[in-house]
Amino acid sequence: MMKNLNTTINNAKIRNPLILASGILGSTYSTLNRLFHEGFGAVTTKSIGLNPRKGYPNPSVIYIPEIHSVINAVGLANSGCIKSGKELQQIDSDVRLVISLFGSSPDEFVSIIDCIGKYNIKNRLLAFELNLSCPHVKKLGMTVGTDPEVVKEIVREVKNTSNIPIWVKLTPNINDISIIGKAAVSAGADALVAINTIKAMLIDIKTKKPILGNIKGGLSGKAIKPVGLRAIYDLYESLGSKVPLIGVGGISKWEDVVEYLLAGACAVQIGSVLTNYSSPKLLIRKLLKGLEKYLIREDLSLKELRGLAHE
Amino acid sequence: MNRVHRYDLPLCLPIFKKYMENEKTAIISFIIPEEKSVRVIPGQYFMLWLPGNDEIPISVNHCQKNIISFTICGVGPTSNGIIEKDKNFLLGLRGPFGNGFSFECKKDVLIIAGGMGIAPLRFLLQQFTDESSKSRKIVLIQGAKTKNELLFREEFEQSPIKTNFCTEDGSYGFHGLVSEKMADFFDDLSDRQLNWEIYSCGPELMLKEILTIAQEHNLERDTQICLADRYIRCGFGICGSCFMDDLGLSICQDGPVFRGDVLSKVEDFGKFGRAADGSKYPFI
Repeated sequence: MMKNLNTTINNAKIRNPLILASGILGSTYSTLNRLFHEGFGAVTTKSIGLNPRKGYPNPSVIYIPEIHSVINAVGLANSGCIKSGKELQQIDSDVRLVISLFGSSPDEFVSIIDCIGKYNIKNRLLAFELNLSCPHVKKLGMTVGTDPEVVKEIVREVKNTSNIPIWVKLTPNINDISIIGKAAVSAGADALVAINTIKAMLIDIKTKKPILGNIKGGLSGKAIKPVGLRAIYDLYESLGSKVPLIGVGGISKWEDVVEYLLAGACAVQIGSVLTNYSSPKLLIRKLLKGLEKYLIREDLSLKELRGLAHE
Repeated sequence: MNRVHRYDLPLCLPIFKKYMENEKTAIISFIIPEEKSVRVIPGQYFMLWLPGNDEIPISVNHCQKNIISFTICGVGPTSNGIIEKDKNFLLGLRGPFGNGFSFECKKDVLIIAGGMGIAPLRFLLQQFTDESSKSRKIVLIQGAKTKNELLFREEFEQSPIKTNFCTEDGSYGFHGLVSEKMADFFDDLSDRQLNWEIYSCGPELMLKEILTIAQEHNLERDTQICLADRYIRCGFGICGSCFMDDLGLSICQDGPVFRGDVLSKVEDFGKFGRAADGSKYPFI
């Protein structure tokens, strides 16, 4: 017996619940095409901003073997919405695409969406994912995603501009993630993605200097899975099953996918684990096979599995 | 991938030796502690970290026993910052990264280097000249803009390999490009049965010409090309900065050495690079 792994997020169907996470391999149309064809249900671009940014100096992405995790401070490097929009037109027509955007104000998000809207991408577009990790324009030292009022304002403005589903990616660097989640949903967010990276850094003891070019960065990979899981659990607890939740953080095996679904996610995103795989195809197959066998063994559908840890 | 054999976090080592090969090119070597010994294949590279500044990809020009050395040309703030440093200054090494040259073949060997592209090829040459068997031909075509940019020239002149130097200004050897010399080389060969393995590294436009000539002689699959002038960020194929359209191959992990039959399918090869912001720029 085969289990159906089709996943519905809002009203859109994707062939399986595995989505390439933003910031991993997603900076060129070729890799997005390749990863979709290798088996992901959808693929997310690296975050796109209004203007080109070359990001922070290197080292900006480092693998930490002892915790199977990645620390990064790429600094939102991207070619800006005009060049990115042009490039994304070359995405194959069957690809399900999530476009990640970053901005520091509601106006900036709206301008980027308007700009991207000029290019012929819509038929492949599953959602815009808002990356709220930018510094706040007015409140110094704060990122936009940590202030519920700012999040509401951004989501509201963006929803007024676009009829494409809006996913909001939440930061774990906050006391109670569900406050931001609720704010986003109240302003019309169609789905929540959790979590973004956790604030982190590395210091070299010989030179006695921080290793990352930007000194501080964000941690992803296996080490953050329990944190991501808790975030999804909290969001499901406070928002219920109506809001689609997409779990992300440290997934490397099918059991991790099941855990996230049990916590309340209806789909997951995968990123840092691709460090260890020269062939993403094999990894995706392994994850889907494991998930399918589990569903057969437990006699559950994907939908029925969601949130079971809360019962 | 075996992680035991590479430094994922920068291994900071004091500069053991530094000398200037010409006014803007330094050879910097390090002693690797025994417990950190690592196998490096010619063509592989390290990310060299100048603490507090930046990190750049540099291919290995020599690695034997516990000594590893790099050739660094001062072209930007980081490379210039590195070559200004002296003995005992601490630099960080991440790597080795990427796929190196395959040199198991028993064929005759033609090595074509342009400018700084000689660095990984010098390391490769050592593998061949270390062999006890002298039964095969080894030919080096090395080119540069001018005589003093022919790195390691004296060393090669004293070695048993047949070396053809080329300079664009005619200040030494053949007056012209390595690709012209390569074309002449094959035209002059009396043996029509070509049994050569070609290894090349240098500016990408040069490499594109090398591949075209190799294709004319049906040697596309026997050509190994090391791409050297592209932006690399993470080194382990995860950040996506160095991917080439439209096969979606990374320079940093799938490369930097590719076979000619793969590169001939890569649209971007010899045409477009990507800057740190991810935007494409033309090579010409």
